[in-house]
Amino acid sequence: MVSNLHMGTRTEIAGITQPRVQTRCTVNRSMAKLLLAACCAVVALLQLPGALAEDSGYIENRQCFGCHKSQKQTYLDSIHGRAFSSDEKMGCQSCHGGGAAHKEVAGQDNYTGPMKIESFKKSGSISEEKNRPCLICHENKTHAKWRGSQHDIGGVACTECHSLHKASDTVREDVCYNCHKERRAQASRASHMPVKEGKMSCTSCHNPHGSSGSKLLNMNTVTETCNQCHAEKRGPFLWEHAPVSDDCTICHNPHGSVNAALLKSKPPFLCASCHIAGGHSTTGIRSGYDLGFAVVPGGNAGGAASQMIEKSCLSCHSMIHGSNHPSGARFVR
Amino acid sequence: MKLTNKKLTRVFLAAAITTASGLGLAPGAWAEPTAETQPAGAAPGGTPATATAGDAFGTAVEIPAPVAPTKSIAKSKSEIEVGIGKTSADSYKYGDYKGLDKSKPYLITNLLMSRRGEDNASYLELSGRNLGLDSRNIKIRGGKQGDYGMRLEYDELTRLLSDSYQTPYSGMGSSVLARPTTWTIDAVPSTPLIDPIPNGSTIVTTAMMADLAANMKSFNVQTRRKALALSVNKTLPDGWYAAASFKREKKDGTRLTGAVMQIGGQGNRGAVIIPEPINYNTDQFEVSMRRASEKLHLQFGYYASLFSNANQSTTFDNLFQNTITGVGAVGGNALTGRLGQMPDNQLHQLNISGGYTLTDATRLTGSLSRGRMTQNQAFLPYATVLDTETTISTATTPALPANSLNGRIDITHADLKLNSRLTRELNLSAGYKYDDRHNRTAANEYTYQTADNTLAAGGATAPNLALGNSQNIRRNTPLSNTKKVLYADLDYRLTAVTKLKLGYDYEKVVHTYEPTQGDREHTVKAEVKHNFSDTASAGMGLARAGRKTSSPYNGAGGLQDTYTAAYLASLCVSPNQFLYNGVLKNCTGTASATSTATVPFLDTPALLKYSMSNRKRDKLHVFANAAATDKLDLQFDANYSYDKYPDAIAGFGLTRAINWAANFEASLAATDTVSGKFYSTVENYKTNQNSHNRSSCAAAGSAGSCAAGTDITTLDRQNNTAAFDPLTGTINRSDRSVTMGLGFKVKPGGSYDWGGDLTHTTTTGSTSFSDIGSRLLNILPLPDVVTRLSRLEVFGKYQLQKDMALNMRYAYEKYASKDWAWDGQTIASSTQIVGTAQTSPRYNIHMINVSLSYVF
Repeated sequence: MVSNLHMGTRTEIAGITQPRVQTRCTVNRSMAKLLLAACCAVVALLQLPGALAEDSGYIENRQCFGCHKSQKQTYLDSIHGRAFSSDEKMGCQSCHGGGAAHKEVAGQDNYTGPMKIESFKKSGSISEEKNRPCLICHENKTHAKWRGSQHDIGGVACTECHSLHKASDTVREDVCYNCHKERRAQASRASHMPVKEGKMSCTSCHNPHGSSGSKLLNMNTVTETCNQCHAEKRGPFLWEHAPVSDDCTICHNPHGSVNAALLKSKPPFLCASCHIAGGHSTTGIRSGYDLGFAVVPGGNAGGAASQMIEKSCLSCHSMIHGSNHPSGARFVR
Repeated sequence: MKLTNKKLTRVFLAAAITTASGLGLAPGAWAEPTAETQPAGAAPGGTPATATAGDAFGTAVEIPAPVAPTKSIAKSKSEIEVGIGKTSADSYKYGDYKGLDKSKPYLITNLLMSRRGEDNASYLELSGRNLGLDSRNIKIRGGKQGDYGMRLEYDELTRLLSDSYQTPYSGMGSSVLARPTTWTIDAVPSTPLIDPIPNGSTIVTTAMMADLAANMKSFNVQTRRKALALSVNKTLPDGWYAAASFKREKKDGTRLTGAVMQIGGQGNRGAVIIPEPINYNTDQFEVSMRRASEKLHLQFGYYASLFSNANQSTTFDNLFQNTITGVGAVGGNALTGRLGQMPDNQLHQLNISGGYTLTDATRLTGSLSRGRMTQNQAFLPYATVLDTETTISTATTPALPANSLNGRIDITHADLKLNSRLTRELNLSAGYKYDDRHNRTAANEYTYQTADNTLAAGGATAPNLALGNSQNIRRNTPLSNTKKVLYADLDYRLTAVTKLKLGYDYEKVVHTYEPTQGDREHTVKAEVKHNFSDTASAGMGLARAGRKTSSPYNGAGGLQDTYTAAYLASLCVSPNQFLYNGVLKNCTGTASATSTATVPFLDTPALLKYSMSNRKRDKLHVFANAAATDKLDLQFDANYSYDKYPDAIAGFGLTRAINWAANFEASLAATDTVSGKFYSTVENYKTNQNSHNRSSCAAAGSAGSCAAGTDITTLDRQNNTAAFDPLTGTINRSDRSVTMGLGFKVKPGGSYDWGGDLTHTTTTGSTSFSDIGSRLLNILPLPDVVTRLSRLEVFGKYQLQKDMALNMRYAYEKYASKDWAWDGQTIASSTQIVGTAQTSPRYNIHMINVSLSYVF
């Protein structure tokens, strides 16, 4: 507590007494100059961010922890805490905004009005306002495509996925499933990418912060994204299968499928949706009959049709993603 | 009062000291003021109630209690977990991706070591997960925050494909598969072997393979990926930033692939499912430089992906070989077949992206990318030339037009986006995207032999090669496509709690060698979100899209580019004519009772490929979230999409695709120590597709499914007339899944915490038929394809002492499946495919893990 400086008016903000110096004392000139200089120095020092002016709206960082004890250590352990913990860098207030008004209202008994601070709660301010502190640092570096991206337009705030008050902010698919619930179910299907096994995550293919590709894909197109791990299907091939060069999702559901190999439908029916050619395959409607009499009563006495069992059409047309064999025009070589 | 110099000096000094104290520079700067009440509130940062702690093991890690405040704010925490686990049974399906396929004990080793500088931004982190399993991962990260960084990571991923596969071949795992030493073809099975193949014209079937059953051997099919990745980055002066990364991934093992031999004339074949050896290597490089200033961001980058395959081909002995040669011998009797493997290829790509903040409210971003994909592996010969049959006539098979493809595809991407907050309530986002795939590979004519057919190209009964009218004379079609997308989205904050969105997309596609020249699609979107209160919100979104082809759909499109005019002429009957690349050609086919087509076609002309035909699409999304109480959070959402292909309704192909899904989730924070969650998802994907059997059907006397009556001709098929209806029908498919999960955690804050999870997933794939034509007499129901997975897991953690805990985890997992492609089939169920004896996987597995974790 600062000792009074002669009846000066005091304004107490955040435990700091800021004197407005008034004196009727008589002093000699040299001392007056010295005193004036000292006062100016004090006032100048008090203008530094760490020692906060009456009307700056900010308080000392340590005062946040007076109430928010549980957040203190976790915040200080985090990367942002380490970067912004000093009063010079505003500490908590670098993201939450000035704490002066908040401190004033939060200390009141039975106060039910607005807390006058950015709390980043989901039901609080709009996402654009919540994201502003983050984008000041991150927009022009790693998140240059955030603005106008699907998540930005969808009103997703950074804090809906990220927890800044943790030593380690590992965002995995569980966070994505909060909104994209079907993907969790699809990842549990018999044919699935190893997401639930922890070997892949949503960000293996998608960039949630914005990207050049459609559907927030890491690369420019679906095929480029898939070819990162499945480069053997990239080609160019001598004999190309059109859906492979166009878009893998014409045949596959990458998030998980009831059918083997992530296929959208089970062969031969998937293939028959585009091919009812001449020759053996002018039988687009394969049924239980084609499983043979041993499996389906009344089935073909001659046994199972090769187009139905084992790998179905792919038992012969195995090079379905493209063939570089001179005799591979029908993807059999 | 007179202020003497001494007194003033004391006052100044006192003021100075007070100021220093106020600035927090004196010792005890972090000392907390006297305690005041903590405000109630949600978890910091708006973290969802169900978020997990960020440790490496997926379980909560206790954060040590804060020590008395000092100048140091660095906290480094490390944890190591060591233990042992065991499963109760072997199972490939259970162990897939996890590396837990064997029931023997396994080592549990996980670690996370983290160190941060006391008074600087340096950091070092070492993490290891599943080190005792084939799904291990090790990662080292280090550097100085905001200055430089390095990351080195090693990862393994095992794919366990089948442990029930059988084959008669030897040499599995290699690129040369040999038939058994003793291999007898019994032309009249089930009788004593006194009558071997009577003549060369006998088509060998699986029933004739007398030694097949005795030679079937089990072979486990799996692949394993091992990847090593290194990345470095450095922050440079003047806002520059540089990064480089390299990743090498090796994939080896085997995967099942079909391998067919042409064993006679048209329509006769024999196939085997072989374990194709996989020996892939993929190297990925990326280098980027970035400069960021207050308004401008620019990034330049180079990406390369190099794929190589140690195997160019897989050779397999012909199990269907008819060893008799001479007059009348069956064509297609090669000793071996050879399947080409994926060729080496490369991608090199340059990327530029940037963003400029025009004003606080407006930002412009864009990127430009140019890449090249190449492939130039030497061609294999048209066929294996190992047989000595006299019907082989290499003189009639032309040489390859080139030694290799010299394939090249240039890919270009460009995009530009403007995002602007027009007013406080109104935001505009608009942009343009361009993607181009330009295939510059040369087109040549290839005169090939189907599936190592030993006959002259085209088969013994095919027209003479010299006339050029063989279907085995084909020109490759290097596919190119260009996509352009224009989009605009308007977001309007109607009130503080209501948000509206309107959007429009326009997409134009152009492609080559396809039934259409391209298509255009318009999409209109609208969405509304409303916050009823701080604890309740809901919303709905609608989208409608219409796609139209830019030229009439030509089912025979692409044929003229790949087949010879002479061959196409043989598909239509004289004296009709057709245009071939703008030139009028005469049909040469001979008319018959059923063969009356007037234009050449292969695929039914009225068959539309759904990815290229006209389409109408509707989508609906609804959601509602509510915190029923301060402890209970409820979420519901549903999605519905309906694709209609109107032209296929009157023709063939996919006519409708309907997908709907409903999700429900409840999160309960019952007390400070007990939390739980329940979720459920139901999804159904249904399709209808029109199809047909047979190309034509003669009158009385026709075999198979054709009943006596009026002829159905190829012209009926060509024009999809009503006369063709008796051969048509609709296939209805439905893939349904139901997923449920229930979990809870109890953290009383003492020495222990525990919890459990129960999950269940059922999927059912059904196929049914409707509108079956009168001449299709053999359409029978298909069984469903079903999978059922249930898992119960209970886990607990007991704090033995402050820094050491005992972890236990028990899980019971049950899996059952049915798939008509395998179940009930034998190795000779099909005359033309050697079966693999595979069965749909099922297991009941108990798993127990016990480990100690130590925090230091």
